[in-house]
Amino acid sequence: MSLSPELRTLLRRMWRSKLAMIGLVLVGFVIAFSLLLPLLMPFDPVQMNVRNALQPPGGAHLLGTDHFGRDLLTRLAYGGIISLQVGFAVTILSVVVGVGLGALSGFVGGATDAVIMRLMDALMAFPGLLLAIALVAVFGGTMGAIVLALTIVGVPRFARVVRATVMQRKEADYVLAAVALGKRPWKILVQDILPNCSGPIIVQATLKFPGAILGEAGLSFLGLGLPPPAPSWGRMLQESRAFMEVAPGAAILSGLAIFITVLGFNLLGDGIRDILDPRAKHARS
Amino acid sequence: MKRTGLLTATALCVTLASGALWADEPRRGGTLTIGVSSTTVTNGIDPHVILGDNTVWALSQIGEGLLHFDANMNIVPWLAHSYSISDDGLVYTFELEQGVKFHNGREMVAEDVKFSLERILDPETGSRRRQNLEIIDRIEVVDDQIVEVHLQSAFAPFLANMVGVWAAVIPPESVNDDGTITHPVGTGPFRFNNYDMGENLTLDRFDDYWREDVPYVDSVVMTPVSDDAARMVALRTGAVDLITSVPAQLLPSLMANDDRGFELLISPGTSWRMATMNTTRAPFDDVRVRQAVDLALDREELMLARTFGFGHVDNQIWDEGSVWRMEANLPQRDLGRVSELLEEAGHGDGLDITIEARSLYLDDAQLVQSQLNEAGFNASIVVSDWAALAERMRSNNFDMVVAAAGWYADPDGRYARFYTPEGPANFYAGGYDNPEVTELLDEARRLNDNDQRRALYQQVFDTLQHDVPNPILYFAPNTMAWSHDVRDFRTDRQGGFSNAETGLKYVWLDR
Repeated sequence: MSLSPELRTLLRRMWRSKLAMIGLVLVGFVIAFSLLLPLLMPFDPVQMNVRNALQPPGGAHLLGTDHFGRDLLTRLAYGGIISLQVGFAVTILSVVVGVGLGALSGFVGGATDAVIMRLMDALMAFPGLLLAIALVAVFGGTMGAIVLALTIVGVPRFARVVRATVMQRKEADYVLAAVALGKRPWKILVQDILPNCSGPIIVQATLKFPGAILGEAGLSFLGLGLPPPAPSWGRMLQESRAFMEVAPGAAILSGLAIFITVLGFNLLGDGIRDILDPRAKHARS
Repeated sequence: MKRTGLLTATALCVTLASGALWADEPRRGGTLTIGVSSTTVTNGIDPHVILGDNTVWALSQIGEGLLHFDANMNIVPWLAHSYSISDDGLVYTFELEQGVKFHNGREMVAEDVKFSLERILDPETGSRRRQNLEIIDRIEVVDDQIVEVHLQSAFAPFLANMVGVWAAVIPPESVNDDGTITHPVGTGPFRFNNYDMGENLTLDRFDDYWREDVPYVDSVVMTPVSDDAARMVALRTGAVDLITSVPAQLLPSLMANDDRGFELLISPGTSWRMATMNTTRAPFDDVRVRQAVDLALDREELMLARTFGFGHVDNQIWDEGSVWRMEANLPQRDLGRVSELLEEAGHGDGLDITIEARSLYLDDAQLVQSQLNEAGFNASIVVSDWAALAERMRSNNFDMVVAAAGWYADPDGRYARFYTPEGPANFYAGGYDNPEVTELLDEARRLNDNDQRRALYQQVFDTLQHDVPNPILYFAPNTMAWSHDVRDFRTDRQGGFSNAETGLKYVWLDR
């Protein structure tokens, strides 16, 4: 499967978009920070040292320590791994399931379409985080449960976008040509239609990623994420909030970590959308 | 030790500084607003059905018992101005104070005492004091001012169980036909005005209160402010006049700052954290595993991390000033012995356990987890909703729970509640059931001599120190803060504030 024209246009235009590049730099920084730092830091993210608690930045602990005397920088980096894991897992799963359902719905139509779409409507009727809270409360606070919950929340949007695009592309001349040639419907869908839907899917995926990270942070802030002592950013923010007055570092830094990551992915997503969305393009020029 | 001394000295200074202001003449009027560190000010408004410390405080403004504690935790007469005990210890005769009025204007008589005690004894009421008073055989009204309580057998803790709002005297007309109470009426310094669950509790001054002069303020509003930061802001901005529980992490800087803008009181505290182990199933049915946990804990570190040195470490709830103080050795962390014990119990290559806690005690649970994992356990944490967790604890379906409990006046109140199978707090001791302990406690109840009782409780204590179903982790300090214009707010020796000589009835506002 070769790169679709849209994907090639995207990559070329990315270089020219300031927003997308800033986003890309931030995302790159977060990924490098989370993946490389744990290899370099000498500290254990869960090892407590109570007599060394709430140290200010500087010295052996570059960013100081939290209320249990754990190194903040190390915890932030390990927290980044958790966030990225959730982000990637949720996005990939949402894409796979959402695109599958959406394509089926849009391509087959009829009763299949109606059933799938009403199901998606029902899921979308719930506020996202609320549904995720309910699901995690049922499944328990494990990585799998969190990913599953956020995926269930994320799938409907993909399904809708893909369904609409597939229905549009279904009428295109190249599809009609393929049908006339007697190509099998499933081959048409996979080989001709879906590659031409990649634009909206990519945009949706880049927007889903920060949403998933924010969702995980929100869940763990509310105490529903990974159980302690996992260094999830949301939990770190929640735990250190009580110490804002005496040691603001931990709360500010964990909040900043969430902020930078989400901002980075949002800028990247926005940039890509601006490039791919014809309406936005007209509005700008 | 040196540090503790210094802290006590500083705490005394704070109190003394306020003491100088007490010389002023109390003034009437004003509304006292209190920020309570909880999501609910009280868990109900029925004085006989009490759940939790906040509820005791809130309802003890409304209802009062025949007896009370003074600031030094001695039992003193209250609604009964005197009492006598028959030689065989079976009959307690209470002579009531004259001219005590209920909030509805009617005078309290002996018949009301009989009604109240019988209501507590009625299982339908759901009083948590029922077990403590079950020993009552019958209540006889001699005349309007004298009531006799006959016991089935001599029961030394009886007087302690008659203290305070737990055994409040209430008028029968305040109870609905279905046995519930929706508008509590008592003899206390404040009248009930309004309460919605999770919202403010509003109390008004009772003008006909039987004690002279008090109370001074026109009304008291208790408002729930569970968030630490929000509660401090409320005090600093004057939204509330008094708060319970100042966050421990703020204490070092607040203590050092004379211009902090409010009064601060730090008392040793009576609330203790514990690690309850399920003694009814593996692995904690094996006493060696429980002992291993006990010896794996670094209590000093727990106390430091959670109270910043303002709490204290102890393995019993009675302080040095109490007659019930037991002879004890504080368990010290000994990781070598822990591995031996685990090895003997067949868990040499690590032991998987689950620690559960509600979010309030999650930090304690994390520290316990960390310390146990250092010692060779493999502990994981589950955060649980309290209602569901308590239910599972009652059905013995858990490994370990980190929780908290408070002070008990009489050793029977503590030991029988926790360490006998019928005790209402037995689930806090992991379903602990030791016939030897049950027998000793039964015996101690029938003795009236405190020295003899103490010897038996020492045996119970020693057995429990060996069996450690729910080792005490540390004691959290009791902290309160109030603005300068709140005067004469006094607490007892341990920081409590619903006793005879302490509390809201003596408070007045200098504004």
